[in-house]
Amino acid sequence: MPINEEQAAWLSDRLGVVVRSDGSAPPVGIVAYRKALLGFEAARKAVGGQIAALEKAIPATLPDEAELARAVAARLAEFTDEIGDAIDAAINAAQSEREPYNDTTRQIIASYLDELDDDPLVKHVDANPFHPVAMRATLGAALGAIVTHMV
Amino acid sequence: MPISEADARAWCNQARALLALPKGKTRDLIAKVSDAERLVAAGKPAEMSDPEWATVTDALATAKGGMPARKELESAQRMNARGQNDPGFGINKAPLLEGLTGALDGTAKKITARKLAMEGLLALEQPADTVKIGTLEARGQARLAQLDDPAAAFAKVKAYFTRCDAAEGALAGLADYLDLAAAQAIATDCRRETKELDLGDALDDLDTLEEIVRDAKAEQAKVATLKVDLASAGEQPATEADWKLLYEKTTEFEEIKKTGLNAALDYARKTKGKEPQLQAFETKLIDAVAAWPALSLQARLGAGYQPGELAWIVERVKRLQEPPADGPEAKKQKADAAEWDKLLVDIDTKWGLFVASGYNKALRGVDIPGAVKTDYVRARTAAIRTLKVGGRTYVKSSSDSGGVSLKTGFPAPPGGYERNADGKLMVSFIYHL
Repeated sequence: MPINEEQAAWLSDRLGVVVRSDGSAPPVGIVAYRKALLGFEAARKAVGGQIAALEKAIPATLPDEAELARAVAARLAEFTDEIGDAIDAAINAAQSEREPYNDTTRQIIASYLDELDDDPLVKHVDANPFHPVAMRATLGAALGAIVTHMV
Repeated sequence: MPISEADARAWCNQARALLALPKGKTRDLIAKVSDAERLVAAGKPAEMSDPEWATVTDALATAKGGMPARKELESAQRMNARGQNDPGFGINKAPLLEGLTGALDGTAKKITARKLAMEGLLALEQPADTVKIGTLEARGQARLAQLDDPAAAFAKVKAYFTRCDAAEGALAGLADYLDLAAAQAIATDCRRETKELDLGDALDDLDTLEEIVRDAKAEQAKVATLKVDLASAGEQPATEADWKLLYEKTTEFEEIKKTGLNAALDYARKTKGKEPQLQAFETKLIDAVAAWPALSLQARLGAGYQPGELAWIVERVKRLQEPPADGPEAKKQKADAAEWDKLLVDIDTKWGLFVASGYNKALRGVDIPGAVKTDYVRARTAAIRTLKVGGRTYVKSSSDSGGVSLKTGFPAPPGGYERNADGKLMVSFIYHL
């Protein structure tokens, strides 16, 4: 049953419970974790679009660098695919109520988060002058949400 | 912006160099862990090298540290697994048990636990979570019957939920989320499952919640009364009598607002002169006022104001002399004066309400001579150029001294009111939360 904003505010203020005004219950525990995992795919698609645009933008400025553009895009796609594979594995594991994730899952996702921060190619691409790319921010936010929802 | 070829080539050259670097470390980690798991599964852990063991154990240890809720969750999941194996216990309880286990264990994390419990209960609304209430109630009551004084224990728990259920004024909407009968049975079941036959800790939490409900019910009842009174006064009080009525009604709730406003005032005093904390102060103030919606500025000042707009006031506006009584010019001036009268009555009355509310004092907690006030006001109003008040557009300007003013698009009547050097009325305003 939907509640009005006043009721939602009361709940939030008095009980610290966030209830959305459309009546849906807040994501909780494993539910939120699963949602965060699924949210990565959206981030991955967004970054994929940015990289594809970059791959076109580079040769538009420097036609002789088309091969480099393909190589950069391929490496980044490989990287996002790697993370995607790890997330897919985590999604499968999350179907288990008993053990929605394990220590290895946690470590791998955290490691990818670190790697996003440290990877020099990702940093370089994020700062490219051809087309706006926000790989670190976009994927980092999605991975961060996953880690946050691991109880 | 066009890219210079030199910059573009420099970027490409660096990218080329970066492509030659080894690939990421996580891939190595995954490979090592995978190898380790394979070796363990094959019964050959001895074949793992020390670094491989180190990698695996590090990965495991990292996750195990600093997880106080882990034990609770695992316990809840174990119970959930048992529940799933019981045909008469068709409930997906993981989120629920996670919270209730925490709520009932009496640990230092009571507040968080209560929140989790509430969230867990709210999660029951999700389609995947179905509860067989009758079954749970029967189980809960059967288990309560095993206590030394089951009637008293059950009566106490039952009374709590009954009172919660009755507090519809405070819990409109919430009661529907919290299937209280189900919660009772589930709480009972969880308590039994966790072998915590002593109801003391659980009831402490419930009593706290009960107090909140009772307070909220009282407040909401008063607010409801206020709303009726406000409605009878009209959403936009137009006459002095209306404003007086509004004022009287709002002042009836001094006790209600006291807690929130005092909290804000206390915080303002503590943060006085500490600019980095102003944001926190503002948040605190918003929270305090938001807790009593009917006492917010919007309610006090009329329905025309919306959160996020600027509430405006005038600090000193006085009429110096009456306009001419006769003649065509007097007619025009009277018309202008009438406009101003209407405006100023509005302003003065609203300013009076501001002062009476204590809200003005709260804001003045940060109204400190010097950089804080100037920077704060300017920063918060930097993006504002014009403001519509009562159908009229005001243009914002900032003086060198740091004050912020609004100017009307029409002149003040000659000799009518205190005005700025350019003949425009100076209207100060403060930020409306």
